Amino acid sequence: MKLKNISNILKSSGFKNIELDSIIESNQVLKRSGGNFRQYLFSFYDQHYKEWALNPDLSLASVKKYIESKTNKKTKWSYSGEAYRKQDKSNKSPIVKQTGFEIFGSYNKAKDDNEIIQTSLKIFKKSNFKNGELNMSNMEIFHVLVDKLSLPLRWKEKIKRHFSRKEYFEELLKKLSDDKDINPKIVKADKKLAERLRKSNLEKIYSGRSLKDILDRFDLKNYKDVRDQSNKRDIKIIREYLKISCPIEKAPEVLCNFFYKHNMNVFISPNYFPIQKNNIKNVKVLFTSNINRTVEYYTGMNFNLMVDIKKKKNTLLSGGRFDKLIGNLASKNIPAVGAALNSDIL
Amino acid sequence: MRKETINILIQSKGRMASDVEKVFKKNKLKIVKQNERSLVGSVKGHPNVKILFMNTSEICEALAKNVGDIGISGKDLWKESEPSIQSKISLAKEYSFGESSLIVAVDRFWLDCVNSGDLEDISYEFYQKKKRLMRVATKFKNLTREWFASKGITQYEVITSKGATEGTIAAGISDMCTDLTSSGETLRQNNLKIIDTILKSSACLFYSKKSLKKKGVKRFIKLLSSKD
Repeated sequence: MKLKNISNILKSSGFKNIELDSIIESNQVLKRSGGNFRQYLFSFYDQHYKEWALNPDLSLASVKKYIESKTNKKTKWSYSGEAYRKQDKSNKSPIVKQTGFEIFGSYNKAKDDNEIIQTSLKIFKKSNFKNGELNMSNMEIFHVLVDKLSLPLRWKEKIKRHFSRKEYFEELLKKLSDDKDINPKIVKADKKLAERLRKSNLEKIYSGRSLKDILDRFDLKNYKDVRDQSNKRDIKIIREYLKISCPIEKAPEVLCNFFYKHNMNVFISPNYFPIQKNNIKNVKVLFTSNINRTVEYYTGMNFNLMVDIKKKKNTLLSGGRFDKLIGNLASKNIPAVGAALNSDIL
Repeated sequence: MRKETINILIQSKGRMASDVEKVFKKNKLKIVKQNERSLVGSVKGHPNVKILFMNTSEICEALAKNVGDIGISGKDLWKESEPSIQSKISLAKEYSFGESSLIVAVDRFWLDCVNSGDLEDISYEFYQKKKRLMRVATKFKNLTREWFASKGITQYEVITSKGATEGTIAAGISDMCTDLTSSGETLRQNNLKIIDTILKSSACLFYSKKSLKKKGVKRFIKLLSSKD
């Protein structure tokens, strides 16, 4: 399938093709992806000591362009081009071809989520692949589940934050099986110092943090939000959830039964999923809880469309809702949804 | 086997330099220098051996580039070096001198921070409340990044330091640091506390993998590995 055909599909679906800048401020990349991502950047300084990088990811570049356009209106954009990323494996090219399409200012979630998936299905139909598998999930369901567990609040936040880092997520679950996460000896000494510090100026800054913030978190950890028991039951529930995979029509029922079984008062309506048919022509549609575990910014519905190449499953397209990304990079909260094509397999 | 000069790279000055000289002495090897400031020397009775005095931080890279065949440097510097350097040299012996630890240190008044899990929460606090990444000063950016990645901490920014890393926190340049320490005294004096150890290091004997083809290199590696 040629890129020209894809751009025609996107054009006919109302996505305006845009040109993206080749470089981006390193700071913006790190704000989204964290400091560890620096090792993958081709970065350099300009004459004013501002650090720039070759675009490592075009979706970020399109978000940046949308922020610069200073609009809040619904905007449908598509892009195609090259991103540049240092690779861990020496045989992998640092040039990554990317094609994507996004809806910014996506306030009608159900309609726009459906539009992104329908456009993905159109691309699949025009491709040479005969059969496909559409896996759908929703981050909101996972967040509801975590909120219902008996964990301290700060642990709930940790578990949600690290869903996209599979290895570390596993480590967190292991830590939760320990009895306690505080050392009573250290805490005793620190509690004494805390009492002394409470009498001093709470606005005083200690290495970038106010004394108030330090003591608030100290109190939360040691008095208000203490984890003093093993959370093996919660770990079991999380693991059970991550194994759920079923035809999409059955997903609301399966999920409701799952929550009921664990005494959680949660109702999952079909509205969580933009598609509710088990089959769309040659595409099998499933709810799969454990997908897209590498993308840190999905907030709601997310999906991947898998195809078979030499009897192995490969991702043709993947995408999802990212309602907080624009807010993290700029001061305005604008919901968005989009998808990207794996150009390598076309 | 080629018969060529064997170049041994050792530290030019400092405490480790005298410890290295002791290793040579214990193995009945006498380093001969033309004068105090000379950066090239020889080993008495071994005319094909040349001693090159260098800055410790340059020894691993020089071995990888085949400037030297054998060298003594810190394990920390080897582990910090780029993969392209690490893959070209091997470790033959860990000595019991030049011991230090690469540690993670935060302000001792951060009472709520006692482990990497806390630090991860705090990095988000910086991001949410101050709209910036937590700044980490270090001379060891690769090892630091590896440690942060292994602990699931992503919201941070590395501030490269050339020296007096602990001081960057008091100066407001960074919020925390990773640094080498042997007794922990400098950290204590700068109101810092250790929350984790990234690496325990000491002086090590390294050799260039390519140099094993040179005649006499294996013998010298064995000699310098036997006693410290």
